[in-house]
Amino acid sequence: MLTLLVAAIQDFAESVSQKYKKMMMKLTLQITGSVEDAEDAFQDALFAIHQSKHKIEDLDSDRARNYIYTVTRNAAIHQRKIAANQQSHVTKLSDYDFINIEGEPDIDAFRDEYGFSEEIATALKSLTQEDKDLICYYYGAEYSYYEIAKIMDTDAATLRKRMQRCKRKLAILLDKEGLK
Amino acid sequence: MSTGTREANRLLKSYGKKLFDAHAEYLYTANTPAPAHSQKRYRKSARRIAIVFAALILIMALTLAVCNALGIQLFNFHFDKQQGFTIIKSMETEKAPRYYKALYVAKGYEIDPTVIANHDFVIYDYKSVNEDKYYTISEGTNKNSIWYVDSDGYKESKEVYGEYELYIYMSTEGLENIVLLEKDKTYISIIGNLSIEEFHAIIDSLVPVLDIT
Repeated sequence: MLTLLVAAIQDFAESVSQKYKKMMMKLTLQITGSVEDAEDAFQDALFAIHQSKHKIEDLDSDRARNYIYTVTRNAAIHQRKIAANQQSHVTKLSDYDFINIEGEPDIDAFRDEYGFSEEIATALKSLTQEDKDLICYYYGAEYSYYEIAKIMDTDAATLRKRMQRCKRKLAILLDKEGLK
Repeated sequence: MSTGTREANRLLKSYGKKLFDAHAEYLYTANTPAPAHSQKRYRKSARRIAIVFAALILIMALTLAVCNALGIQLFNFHFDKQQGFTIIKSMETEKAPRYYKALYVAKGYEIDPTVIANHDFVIYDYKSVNEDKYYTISEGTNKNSIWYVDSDGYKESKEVYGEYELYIYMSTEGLENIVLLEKDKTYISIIGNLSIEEFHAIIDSLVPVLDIT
């Protein structure tokens, strides 16, 4: 029975690894800047993805890819922070370290396309990674707050409040612009 | 509901879609694993590799001596080849002293005036005048540099060109070709849909720059 379970875990992890290891490693390597940390982040991501495998219906779907990307990026950022803390006397992480992550859309290009102001672009850039994940899951993947709560390991009410705060902040800026 | 709130809803919806599409697209570029026959071939070759390994060490020692004598700048990076990609790690023990700039610009291209630079890397972009084509020269001076090469769909080769040892990745799918080299501890990669002659011309024209701005 245990053998079967281990085999099932290995099968799923193997499938994810076979399909996406290359890009997952590229992402973790870009964020951590170290082969060892990238490997650790990749393994962490693989484990987290396995634990949530019930959320992935089809490994080839855009929803699955978005989820795997998000988990991998977050595992790499986490690993990078751990590494920076371990050698805090040497390395200091700035926001700059996390603004050019591959696979993240360019807000300035989005601004040109959508036509909003520099101020709105700044507001979008200053969103936390959790806010962006929430926006991506809710509006992009069209999950419900309840589903996102399970993915992000929190409760739906917290997420709803967080989204309201984001909207309020943007609405104030947009209202101001409308008055100009 | 105010106009601002309605607009915020619309904006977040678009941004959410943008994030989602970008993430999915990033992983979509992942390739399928290598065919089984190549793995079998690796296994068959394992014993042979072990036998020639000792001979390689001897050849490498001789190569180093010859290269030193001829003044060839070896590409002092460790290659960690994995399925479909290669991680290249600097073996240098000191930071490179300078960056370089290519005086030669491939025919039909012009340099993008915006140079991306940090304390240990610089990127020059070149855009074709008439078409939507690019080539890029990236340089790194950090002794702990790690570079990632997506080597799937590429034919790899090594060439000694003038004083340089070049690592060449020619796309078998008509995509961008890659040439890697090292110039006085500075890692240089040239990526673009260029011919080997154009890569050579670019390399020949590299001159040191003190101020990258």
